[in-house]
Amino acid sequence: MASLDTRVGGPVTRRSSAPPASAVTSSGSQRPVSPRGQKRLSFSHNRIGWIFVAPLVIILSLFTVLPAVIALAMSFTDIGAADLRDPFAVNFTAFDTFIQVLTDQTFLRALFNTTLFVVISVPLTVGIAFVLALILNNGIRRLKSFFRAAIYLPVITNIVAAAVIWQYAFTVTGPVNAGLETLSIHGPNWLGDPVWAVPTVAALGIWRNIGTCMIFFLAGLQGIPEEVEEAASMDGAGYWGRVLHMTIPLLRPTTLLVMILMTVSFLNIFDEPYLVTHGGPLGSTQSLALWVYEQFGYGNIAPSMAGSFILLALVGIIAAVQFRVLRPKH
Amino acid sequence: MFKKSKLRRSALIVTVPLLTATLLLTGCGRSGGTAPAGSASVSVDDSPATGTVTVWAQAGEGGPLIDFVKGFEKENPDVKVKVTSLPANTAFDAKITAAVAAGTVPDVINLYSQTQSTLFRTGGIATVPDGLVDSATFFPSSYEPTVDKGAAYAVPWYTYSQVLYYRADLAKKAGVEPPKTWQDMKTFAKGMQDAGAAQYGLGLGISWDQYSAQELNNYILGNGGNLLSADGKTWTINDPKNVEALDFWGSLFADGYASPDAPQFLDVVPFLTSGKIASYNNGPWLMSWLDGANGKGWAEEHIGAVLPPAGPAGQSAGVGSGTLAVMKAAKNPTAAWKLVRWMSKPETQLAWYKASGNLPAVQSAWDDPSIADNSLLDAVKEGIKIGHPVPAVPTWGQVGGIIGQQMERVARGSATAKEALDEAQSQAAALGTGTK
Amino acid sequence: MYALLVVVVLMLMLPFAWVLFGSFKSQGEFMANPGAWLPESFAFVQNYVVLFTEKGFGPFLVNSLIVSAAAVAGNLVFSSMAGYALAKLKFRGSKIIFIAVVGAMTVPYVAIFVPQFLVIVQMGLVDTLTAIILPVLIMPIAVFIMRQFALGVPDELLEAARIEGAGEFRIFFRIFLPLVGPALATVGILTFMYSWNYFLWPLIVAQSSSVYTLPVGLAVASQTANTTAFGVLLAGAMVVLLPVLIVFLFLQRYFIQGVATTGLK
Repeated sequence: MASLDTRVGGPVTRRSSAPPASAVTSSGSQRPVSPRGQKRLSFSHNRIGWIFVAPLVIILSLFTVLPAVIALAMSFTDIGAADLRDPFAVNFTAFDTFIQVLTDQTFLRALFNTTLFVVISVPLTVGIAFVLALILNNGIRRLKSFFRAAIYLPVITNIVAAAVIWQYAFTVTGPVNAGLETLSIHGPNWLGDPVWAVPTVAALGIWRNIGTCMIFFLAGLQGIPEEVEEAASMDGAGYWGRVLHMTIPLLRPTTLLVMILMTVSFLNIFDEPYLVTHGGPLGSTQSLALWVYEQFGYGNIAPSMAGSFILLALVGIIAAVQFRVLRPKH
Repeated sequence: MFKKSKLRRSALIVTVPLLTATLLLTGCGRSGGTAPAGSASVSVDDSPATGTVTVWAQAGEGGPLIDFVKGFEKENPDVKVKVTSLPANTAFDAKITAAVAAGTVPDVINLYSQTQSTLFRTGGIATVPDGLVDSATFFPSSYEPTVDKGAAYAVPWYTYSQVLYYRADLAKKAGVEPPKTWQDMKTFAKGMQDAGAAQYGLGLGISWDQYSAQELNNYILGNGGNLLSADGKTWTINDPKNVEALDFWGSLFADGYASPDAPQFLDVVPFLTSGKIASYNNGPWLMSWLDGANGKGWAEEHIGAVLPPAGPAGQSAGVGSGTLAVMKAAKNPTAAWKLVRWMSKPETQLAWYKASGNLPAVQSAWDDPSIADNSLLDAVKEGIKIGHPVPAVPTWGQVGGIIGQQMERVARGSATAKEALDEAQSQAAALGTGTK
Repeated sequence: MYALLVVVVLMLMLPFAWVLFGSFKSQGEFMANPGAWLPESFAFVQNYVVLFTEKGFGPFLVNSLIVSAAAVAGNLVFSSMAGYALAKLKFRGSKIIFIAVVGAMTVPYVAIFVPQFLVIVQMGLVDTLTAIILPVLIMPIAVFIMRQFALGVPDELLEAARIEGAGEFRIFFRIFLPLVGPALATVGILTFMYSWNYFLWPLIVAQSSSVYTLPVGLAVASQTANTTAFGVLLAGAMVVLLPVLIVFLFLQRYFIQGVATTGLK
């Protein structure tokens, strides 16, 4: 351990003021033995801590926090595209823009649509990914890498290309309906019917996200110790019984992560409805993110900013709720 | 001590962003007058252009344009034109908006007549200097959309009209004449369908948002109605004449002459080829699509073109055009305007047609044999002459989309024409026309 | 089990197969028969050729490689530093920073891209690869993952080193990083994938095509005046996804092992 003896970085005083080993707790907090020692310790930890996060703080402040604050400021005004060259020549309108947005029919419709997207997509994506992960983990021996890669391919396929495929496949006389005809099922107008457009667009989102969720579940499953599995199977529980009562509870932390990621993802769904149906038919697939983008395109900057912060708040609330509900029980 | 620092910290987190926001906001306030419309008060003489001109072209035009500008460079040896091809439409508009906000604009951009009014309103585009071009050389339907509040902001570059393309060979076999009036449409369709020549006599595409609305405009104008008031300041979408027009359009579906689902997406070419639909309203590019799919010359053998049928009060065709604009903050406005002026010379217009397939916006260029002798372009030319562009107001993109949506309801039979247009009117009225 | 898996995987692969097959079709084929499953000839590689000869994919590929390499390197170093610090170093403001990180993951991009651009302009970095790289140099999700992972590293190890007198940097590089190889692989693939498929920001930053990345180049390459060049689009999609697939195949076993122990507490 010779390399650790050389002191690199950190003030010289640290060594001498480090308390005896007994004061160190398992959580790593250093309980100081003297006020003088405490001040120096937290000072040095402070400084080094800030050095470590300095790049993050700089990048985050410059490119996320500052722009977000500016965007928030814009949502309190009536700024429009015409004002962009002289952004201060606008009126301060406090919460008027927010109220205007929240009472806008199209915004509320987008809110409804987005809720539909989330409710349809998240359980399906997570569920299918979970089953796939189970099979890949326990059910089969060979070709694991191949299947994993195959399932991950949709995640990395260019969305524009995928959307074109979707648009073609689901036309009334397209391949999907043609295939259904061979089973004597008369398929609906997937993309032209306001009722069917939502599941069709959602399907694209589901297709694209299963791979990501599956990877996380595979990881979680591999984290389950073998002894636990063996004990359960010796218990005489059937396979699905085991899954229900043992695997799923043990996967709670993974499930939390996946649920939150997917919920945030689908709440912000944009590319799928934009590219496949442009928010149609009859506005049935217009999501909140799409609404925000379109408003920006029409030059309605202030409502666009306000809408995006309402969306942000919504995402935050739902994520927080999920954290509560899916928090691992101890 | 722990509590105090925590309080202090939370206080900081809340106050710093608030302070920043407030600081930003205290600088706010509209001045009474409007920002000066200002033209790049540039004098554009006849000397050769010099320096570098940066052009941002939308992908469709950018491709051929990169090499095309060499012609300009040859005539003006001291100038260099740098063309960058960008993703088109919404992505392009977003980029222009950001560029205008930051002041990092190019010299020249190309725009489309249906969407340019919104960009004019950013105030980042310069007005065309007086005398640069003679507006009379252009088709009126190309020139009109470039004018906003009495000033021209762009110069027409190319144009097209949407006409009714139909299966002339199938019609001949069925003994049916192409439609000239609204009533003819039903006769034509019935004739084609009864003779088994086509499943649907009419291909009426819906769900194209403002482009569907553009097609409806033909019917509206043909009935003597108008989407806008005479002064162009208010929407008159649910005017009774408009309702009648939409009602007629809806009846085409109700009577079985058209289907809301034929064609969708890429179906136009295969459906026309197979005869599933017997006609379709589209621009001249449809010919090259058909040839591309079925072999060169197929379109000439099988397709005929007529103007969109006339209504009780007149006839119109949807006209669109591409234009060129110079940015207010351009670094080399003089050379930029010279480039634009060069583009509008009849010879250049013809050369551009040959290079890109875009038809000239300058009327005299159509006299050239390459265009005049092409019979399939006759209807297009007529369309450009009698046709109308979409309302050139900043909110058209949004309102057109709303109208398109309501049209879908009528096509699917879930709303009457009156209900649909009343709904569109109320939404549009809330948005206004954007003209002050 | 195999049967179910194969069925599901086949269904998932179907759209992808369309992309692959479609990349060998000419525009005329698309127009004539959009629903055709197989291309007329697999020897029709024009779409791919055109991408590199006419559409400038070569330079765009280089740009994308530079951006993604920088993004991966930046995240591997700086995001892991930040994640480590947020998890293991007690300092004032760490909680706020973590909340800001999580919040940053949810900010809608359309709200901030114009102000973000203004910042770049103020810094004089318009039309540079640097400007494209900076916002993704340290990604909130990467910090989040590293922090979660770091939570799982036993404090005793770090404490022991501290008592021996090692500085934090030494501890970070010599003790912490070797323990979190899998997490680093995870961050590697995620940041590579995200920066590789980045579209809007590189477009906004560019003043000329010299800094275009592949997604922007693909959009320009596949758009024609009145429709899309479908074959080119699909061929481009294949080209764009290949490097990510390679990185994924290479890193996947670390990735899975990594996410497993990422202290999902």
